[in-house]
Amino acid sequence: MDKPNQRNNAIYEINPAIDVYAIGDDVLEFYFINNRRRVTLQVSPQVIELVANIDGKNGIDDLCKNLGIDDMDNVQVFVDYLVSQAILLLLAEQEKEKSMLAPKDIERYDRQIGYFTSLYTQSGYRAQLAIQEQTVLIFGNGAIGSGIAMQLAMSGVRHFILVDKDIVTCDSLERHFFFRETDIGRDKCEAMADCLKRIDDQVHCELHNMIIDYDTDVDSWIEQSTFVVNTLDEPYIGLTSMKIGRICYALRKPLYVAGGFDAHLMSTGELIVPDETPCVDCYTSYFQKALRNWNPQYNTPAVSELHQANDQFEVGGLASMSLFSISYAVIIILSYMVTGDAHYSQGRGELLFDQLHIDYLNVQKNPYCHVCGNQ
Amino acid sequence: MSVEINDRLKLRPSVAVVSNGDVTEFFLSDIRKTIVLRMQEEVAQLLFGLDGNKSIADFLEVNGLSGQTDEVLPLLDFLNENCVLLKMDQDYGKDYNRYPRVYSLLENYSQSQGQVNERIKKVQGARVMIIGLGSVGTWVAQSLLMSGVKHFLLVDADRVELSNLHRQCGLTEASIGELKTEAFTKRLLEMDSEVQTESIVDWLNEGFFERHEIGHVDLIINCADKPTVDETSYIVGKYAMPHGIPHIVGGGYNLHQSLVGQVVIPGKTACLECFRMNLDDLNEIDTSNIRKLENKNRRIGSFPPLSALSSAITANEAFKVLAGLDNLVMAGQRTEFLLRKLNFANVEMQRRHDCKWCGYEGEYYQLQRN
Repeated sequence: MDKPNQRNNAIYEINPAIDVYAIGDDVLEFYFINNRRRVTLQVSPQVIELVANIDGKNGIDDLCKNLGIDDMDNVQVFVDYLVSQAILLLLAEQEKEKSMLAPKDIERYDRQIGYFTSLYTQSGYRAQLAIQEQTVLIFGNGAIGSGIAMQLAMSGVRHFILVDKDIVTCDSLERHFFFRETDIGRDKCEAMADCLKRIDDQVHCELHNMIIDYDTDVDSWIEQSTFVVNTLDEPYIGLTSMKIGRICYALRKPLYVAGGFDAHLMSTGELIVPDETPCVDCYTSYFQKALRNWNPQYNTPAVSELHQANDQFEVGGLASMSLFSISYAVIIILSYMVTGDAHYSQGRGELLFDQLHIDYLNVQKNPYCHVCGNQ
Repeated sequence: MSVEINDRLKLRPSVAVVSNGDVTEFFLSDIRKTIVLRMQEEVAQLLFGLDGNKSIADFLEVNGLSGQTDEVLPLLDFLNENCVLLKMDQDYGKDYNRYPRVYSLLENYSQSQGQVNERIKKVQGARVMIIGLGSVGTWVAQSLLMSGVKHFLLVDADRVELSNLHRQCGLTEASIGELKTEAFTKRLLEMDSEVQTESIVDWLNEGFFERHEIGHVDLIINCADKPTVDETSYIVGKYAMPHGIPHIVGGGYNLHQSLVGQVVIPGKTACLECFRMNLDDLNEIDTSNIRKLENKNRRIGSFPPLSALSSAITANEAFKVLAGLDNLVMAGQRTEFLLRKLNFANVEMQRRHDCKWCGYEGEYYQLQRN
């Protein structure tokens, strides 16, 4: 591989989010502060001195000369390895990557860019750009949908398509992080778009104040978007996801089916990527089997009048419980946007209010699935 | 037995009732807790007659069971004890219109509407001190407000910067340059104009609690990480322990973004010093041959949704403390959300008898006994 700029006294810097330790006189340990990854290498004392002197200012050849190191071929192999592990960053490359973003965005997302730099082998600037270039379609502007939109806008997503038919009511206070008392009576979509705009003036929203039913044509919205989020739990999250999921599968779009809806208050939801993960229909057939003998009955006649308007069975919950599902979803969504890797996600899981451990269902792809199966 | 013949009971609509042969399952769907009883489907069906309007006596009469009161009452009492049946001893006030889900959640931990009212009153009457309006403090404060907390004491000395907006909720481009306490107070008032907030514009450091009159607070949540969260938490602990104030160490801070800190109920759960002593035991390694090399460019990253997730756990715990629930998961425990595994790694810590703060000979032991 010919990398002339590296061979010519290239300047490197140590990944800003790494702590470097010398243990004894022949072990180097690199500790990624953000994700706690460790890379431990046995090296010569000279190499420790070399790493200690890398400063983002002096070229590698000069550093070696000063330290009396002359085996430059081996130095290059070592340096290339550290670059492949995102431990060392090539300054010239960094400057080039940096120019992809507006200076204001570099300032604004500085800490997040630093985080991505430390995690992935690509540059944090490129990761940030990948986020800013997304168009995210969100079905449902409830506690979870609006929360996901807010966190994505905070992280740099600037194009949204929002779909919801509801208006803001006084009890939105306990559910919607975008809520303002003055928004009561307004269309949720509009109140939401204003909120996103206050966070970032460059956000652009396309709004659809309407009910999605079986016949609604959502294909063109999905086609326009790079990522789809479904949080519509009326009539039922499984049902709306099936409609949306099949179109996403056909159009090869990644989909996040959110959790946090009624009776699954702190569920994680799941990332659905065509052929990479189980599809929505795989999930559906899993639940059909798992819940075969589950015929719950609810005391619906006793539901108070107030609740009748919102839900069927007096659902309980807290904003902080929604915040868990929102934040979990955004962790997965941003990671996918940046890496394109769906295998990192774990599928549907659930956290309980009384216990701090997520139980994952471990749903597998169904080989006989009529949407994504082999036949 | 706490259920009496003239009580009105309601089979709570969020409880799923599933009968299979002679086994009936009561599934508290909000908290996903299951109670399984040997009970015929026909008997389970009768429970649907408990609509909250008629007394147990009337319920028995309608079903021709008046003669079997002594057999039925213990069953109803058991189901009431386990929050399947709710006693309708009081009505809910007008706040039910704004917080229906909070009321319903509390029913999972209460025997009667009166008890739910009590808990709501505690939450709404509480004054919560939040130190540090960063990527955790802002989410925690806003979540608590949305669940009914009405009184806040906010502490932060910073002004809003452009680089805050990607991880701190409630701050907008328009608030850049304002004091964080001011900008965030505006945001809280936008959500709920009845909220009362006071602010202290200062850093939490040595002497903070001598410089400022704190007044009565029911809970202190420390989200300040300058210079380190250990140092700030210690200052909080030294004030909170002798005053008997529950305190929570927030997580999500620099270096430990995925960490969620512990809840301390003075005199009841492991305190900060118990944790420190336990951690020192765990971390007893020889560091004499380890040298940290200088990273001239060191700059720590931040992943906003990770801080928000940490905030969610802290706010859940804070709500439990305020409402007087006994299902804390972070008392005597700290946890870390592992991004690689997408799960929590919990570390449990016992209270120590030899603790310098709350142990038998500790500085604050006697204080809490009185």
